[in-house]
Amino acid sequence: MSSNVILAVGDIAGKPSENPGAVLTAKLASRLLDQHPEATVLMLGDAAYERGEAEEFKKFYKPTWGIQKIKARTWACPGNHEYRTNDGAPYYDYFGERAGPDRTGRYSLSLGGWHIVSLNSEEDHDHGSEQIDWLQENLATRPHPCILAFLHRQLFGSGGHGDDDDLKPFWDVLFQQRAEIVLCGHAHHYERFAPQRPDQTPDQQGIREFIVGTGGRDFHGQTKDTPNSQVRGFNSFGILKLTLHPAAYEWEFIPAEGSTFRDASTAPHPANHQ
Amino acid sequence: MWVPMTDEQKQAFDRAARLLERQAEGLADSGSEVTANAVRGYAGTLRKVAESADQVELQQEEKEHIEQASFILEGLENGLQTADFRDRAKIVGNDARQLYDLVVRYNTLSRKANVT
Repeated sequence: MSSNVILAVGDIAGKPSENPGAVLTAKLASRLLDQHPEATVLMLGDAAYERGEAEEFKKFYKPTWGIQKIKARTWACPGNHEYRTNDGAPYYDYFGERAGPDRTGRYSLSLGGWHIVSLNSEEDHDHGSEQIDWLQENLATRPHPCILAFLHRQLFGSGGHGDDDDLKPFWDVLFQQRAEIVLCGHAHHYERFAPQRPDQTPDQQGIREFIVGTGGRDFHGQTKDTPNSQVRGFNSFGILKLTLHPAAYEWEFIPAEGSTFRDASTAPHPANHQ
Repeated sequence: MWVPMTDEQKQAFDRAARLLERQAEGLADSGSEVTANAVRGYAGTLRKVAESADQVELQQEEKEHIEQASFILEGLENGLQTADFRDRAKIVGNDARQLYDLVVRYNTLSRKANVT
């Protein structure tokens, strides 16, 4: 039953003095994989600080989130720190096919009857760009109606990096195709939004964004109150567990050892996908 | 890597360069020489882009300068927003996005250049 379980987080490993939570979240991921051996791990970018170098993957990511038990279940999308070294080459080398087939960072999977799509916020995504054209075509021919997208950067956020309108073309296409969920990191906190349109209008048939930049790096504090934000946690490392069902999805933010913040609930699918 | 620029983007880079140049001065005056030097370097790269023609040649390190500068502008945007200087916050925020847009374009062009 656990093949429909997703464990998601970004902004993870680096020099231990600057990434105090990576060991804790890796232990948590390992424990959750004991409970759900078939779960899929989605790495939401910025796996290895500071520059996504091969040596940083080897020294910092591999001993924590790179242990075989976790890595074998992981699919990744690239973050801005990955692109600080040779167009993300060490990242693509490290994750191999688990970063997509052609080193563009965009690809899709089927999971639990859902269409899961990885997007690359670090490459062009203007309307008319190759990536947006790809996304339109990918979603138009998807085998499952329900869509979960994951990428590094957030469109809306109440913490560090705030809102990023630059991401709107992704959301325009995802909303048009009635995507349910967008997962991202980049901002180092946890936040859950109510379903909304790309222009921030609340809409039960809109997209629910989760920010899960709680993989271990550090914390960015709150910078503002963002419309439609429902739950925020600014000081807990942890992992978002999603359980996908044909007619609903459940979520639970599970804190790493030493934290108590939690967020859990269930949402029905929008009626248009039933 | 040569990256094309629009006039609007160059204006954003010019405003951002001015802000970071003054910020570097302030940081140096208040004793943060290491940080001041880094910010001065970012400002220099922004100035180079602002004064370029319709395209600019960037190295990887300069791309990182622009990314870091965009993060500094995001901080300023947040501060101005909190202090209720909303109009200026919006301008600074838009400039931050323009900076980052160049980073994304650099990444895309660089990958394509390496593939071909």
